[in-house]
Amino acid sequence: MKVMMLILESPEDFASRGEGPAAQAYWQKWQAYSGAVNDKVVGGQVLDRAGTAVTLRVRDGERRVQDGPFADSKEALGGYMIFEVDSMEEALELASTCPAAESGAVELRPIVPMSDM
Amino acid sequence: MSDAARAVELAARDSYGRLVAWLTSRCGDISLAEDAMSDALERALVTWPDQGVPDNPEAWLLTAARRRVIDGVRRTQTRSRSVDRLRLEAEEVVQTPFRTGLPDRRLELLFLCAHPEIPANVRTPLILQTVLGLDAKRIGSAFLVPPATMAQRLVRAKRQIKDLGLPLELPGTRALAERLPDVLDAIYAAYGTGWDGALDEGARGLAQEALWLARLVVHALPQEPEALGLLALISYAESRRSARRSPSGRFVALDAQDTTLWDAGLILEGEKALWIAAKVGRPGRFQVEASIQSVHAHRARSGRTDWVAVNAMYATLLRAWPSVGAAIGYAASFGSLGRADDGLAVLDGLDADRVSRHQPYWAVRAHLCRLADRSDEARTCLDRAIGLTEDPAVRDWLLDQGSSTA
Repeated sequence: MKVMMLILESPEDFASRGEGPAAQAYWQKWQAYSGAVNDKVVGGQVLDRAGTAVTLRVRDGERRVQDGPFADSKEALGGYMIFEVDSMEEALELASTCPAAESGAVELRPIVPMSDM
Repeated sequence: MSDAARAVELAARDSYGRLVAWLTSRCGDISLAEDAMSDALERALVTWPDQGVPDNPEAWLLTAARRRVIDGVRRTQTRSRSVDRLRLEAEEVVQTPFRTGLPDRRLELLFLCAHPEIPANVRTPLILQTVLGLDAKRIGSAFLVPPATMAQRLVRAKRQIKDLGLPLELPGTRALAERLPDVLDAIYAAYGTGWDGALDEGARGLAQEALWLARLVVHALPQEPEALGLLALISYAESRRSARRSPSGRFVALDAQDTTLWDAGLILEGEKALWIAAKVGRPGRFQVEASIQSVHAHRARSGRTDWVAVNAMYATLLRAWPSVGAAIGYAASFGSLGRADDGLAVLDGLDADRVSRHQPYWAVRAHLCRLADRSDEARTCLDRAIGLTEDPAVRDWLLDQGSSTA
């Protein structure tokens, strides 16, 4: 099965992506993590800071564009990974060492196979 | 928390397993016994703050829970005889002073939860729930299983016990010897699950519970050397808990720990258990593992670690009870003897698939590669170990190891 891990990062995480020692530690953790789960990953991307998001809704034919992500929460989507695993438990285990799990959160969701839709 | 709420919590901790075990022995249905207990505890939380904590909280809880069980059994209308028995014995118990009247059936409950008919991966969770009263959410978190899945598994296991009519009784001597390893493994698994997060209150709780369960088994079976071995192993490991973190929360490796922070009482408990076990003269895996920890504990008195002894004990462990963990410990001990290459050879002998996601393997490999001046490989292995580490304090420590060699 394929499971998507939504990576919800804290404002501090986003802030440490820039430069300096914090950035070095941040990227090193991610590099080590993605290296360790590499053989189970079939896809993934890093997203830019939440401040760069634009959200669009169309209501009764009227467009409503707003700055920022769709959900106004402390953590914001910072990227995703797609795992190829045998079970949700295996996905949970892979997620347990994800750096974002300790500072933000990760959400795991099975991907519905095309044949089921 | 109010005094009454604290009294409920104390009574729950002290009495939960004993009452669930006793109720189960009467009605043959763990789920019913648990429901009745949580019902009784809920009622205590409502009643005690108003009417005061009863003189004998356990008897109060028993009376409340037993009513619920009788109702439950009546509803199914199948076990009228057990209802009578339940009523009779419960009344006897309630009239006797605190705790003395109630036969302790927790050991039987432990053996029931570790029954061969119960799938191995549910045994420890089942013990944690029935004997200690932990909820599925906390158990699921400890074992990295979605809480709903864990709850399902527990319900299924309890239904199985009821449907198969598995009795709540101690097996005969031979069957007891056969099944004791499963009971001990389940307790050790609970401890292992609680070990990593030294600062996490939930995890710490689980380690304490495991220590408590090990004591319970030794109390009931004082002549079983492996039960003593497990108690010793857990006591030694627990004795070092507060030394594993610096005041600022940083991870401290075993060699670097301040031995004055080790808990002398727990070390003594370990030594004693190991000594009694040795007198029985039936060595086993837990006894050898505890002996290795005993060598480490000795550093508190001698100021040094006898690595030759550690190495020899790991060799024994590996020969008689091979496991990935034993091989990694064996390999690491070569590093401390200045024989990193021999250690790496041990690691090379392990099945690559089994260790590819095993953090200790990569951490020890990185360490040995560094000692053997294989710095490129050390770097790669260290990265792998960092990526597989869940505990942030350990991860930071590994990151430091990396920058000190870079």
